[in-house]
Amino acid sequence: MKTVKVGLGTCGISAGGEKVYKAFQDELKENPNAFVLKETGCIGMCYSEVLIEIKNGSDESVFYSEVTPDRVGEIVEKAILSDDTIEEWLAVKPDNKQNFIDNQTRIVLRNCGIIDPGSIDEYIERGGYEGAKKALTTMTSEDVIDDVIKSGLKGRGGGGFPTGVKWNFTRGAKGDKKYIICNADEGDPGAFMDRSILEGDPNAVLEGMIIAGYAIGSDAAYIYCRAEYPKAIARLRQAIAQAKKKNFLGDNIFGTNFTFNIKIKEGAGALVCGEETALIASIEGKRGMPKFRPPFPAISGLWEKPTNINNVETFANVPWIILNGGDAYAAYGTEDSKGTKVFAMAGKV
Amino acid sequence: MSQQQSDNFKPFNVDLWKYDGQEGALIPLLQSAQDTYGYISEKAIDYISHITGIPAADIYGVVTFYAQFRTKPLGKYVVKVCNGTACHVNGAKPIGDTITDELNIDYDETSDDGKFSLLSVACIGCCSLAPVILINDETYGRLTSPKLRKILRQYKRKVKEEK
Repeated sequence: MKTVKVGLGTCGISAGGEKVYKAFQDELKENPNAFVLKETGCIGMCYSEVLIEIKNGSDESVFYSEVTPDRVGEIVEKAILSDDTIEEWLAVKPDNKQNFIDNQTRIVLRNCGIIDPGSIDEYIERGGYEGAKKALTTMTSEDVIDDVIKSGLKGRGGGGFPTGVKWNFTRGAKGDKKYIICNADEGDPGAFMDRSILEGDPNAVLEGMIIAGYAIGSDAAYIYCRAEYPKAIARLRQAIAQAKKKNFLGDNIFGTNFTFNIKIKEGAGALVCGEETALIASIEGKRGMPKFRPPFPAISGLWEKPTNINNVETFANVPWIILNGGDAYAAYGTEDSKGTKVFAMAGKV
Repeated sequence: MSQQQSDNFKPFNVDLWKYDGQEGALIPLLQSAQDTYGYISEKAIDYISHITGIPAADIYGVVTFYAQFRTKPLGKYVVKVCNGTACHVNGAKPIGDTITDELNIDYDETSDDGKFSLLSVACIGCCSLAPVILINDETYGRLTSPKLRKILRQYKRKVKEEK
């Protein structure tokens, strides 16, 4: 049986993805066993939304771009019920050797546009939470930090500070209570990398945060997400609820004595709150005014406790690094900047 | 007059805001107050001050700091024009002008019948579809003036039918 996946990130939705999804649902009502319908996050070709993927029984896929509800009937008839392809509607033409997707190495976006972001089980099927399990059950917190340092991962929010070194500061800071914050206040013009990750693979961010919490010795975390990303916030809430049910969050995670909880704080529309000290003030319920550093958040952050802040994409790298080793990650990238980087392109591409 | 514009301030349930005395609750409290009433009234500030013990002046300071909070009621349909860089370059200005022309309101204004408000917002994160507007939670992208007029007229028809 064929599977149809409709890209329902904000990019897909604003191009009319929900209407296309509904049109497929209507087709299913008439012919309930014709195909399996799923939704997924951003597939990565936002310029050609609404994108759909049709996967046959032997895992071969074709993508159709700029799908509209009135094209759905023909797609079902030709491309699903029979084995034709409608060449003129294909997203990637067969003669196009420079396939946009195939030339990418996807670490952060390993699941984006592939899994249903609303299903933790699909994330687990693709190796999800294996990184956290490995860290918590077979590694010490020093091992985890060593591996992250070895990977060469630098903060993906723009500061470019080595992530493992930052973790080590907070780990070494004095304090009985420590916090982890995920900065999801992405506000740079034209940038939507973090939104794509949060909407397409929220569990990857949560898993990265759990590993960071274990490495640093923190049991409480906040995700500070801008209120302009309602879909991302909804996805995160859903993912947190499912992770709690599976006991990836809460007490005694993976049977260890490690406790970790994540809360979401919605931003209130102030660009400056992407700056870490302003962000902390905002979580505390104050005006988002930046403060002088030092003291750095690693020493005195949220409610004057040691606090480690990383960006969404930084956290999303971590499970892969732990699972595959720091060296494997460092094999990508340049001499000074290891690993992969997600880019968002907009305008006249 | 819409419910959001009503001056009759009903004392509301604290549970509604899920306030349990924890630190840092002010912004979530203000967000849910605004979700409920559409804006933050003076009475809402007094009430929050009363239950949290935070001075009203401090709360006012927080309200005016964040772009999300409004101290005036909004129309039933809120048109947000993205003025992020990608939309700006792709013609957010003529889009705003078209709305002003069609709905007879400027930025930060609400129409006399209380049905439409026009706001300018920073990047809403779907630059690939620039220029983009939001009408309540519905996104409209790749806009041109004629396409936009068509959309706005649909909303105007809806308003007429509601009457």
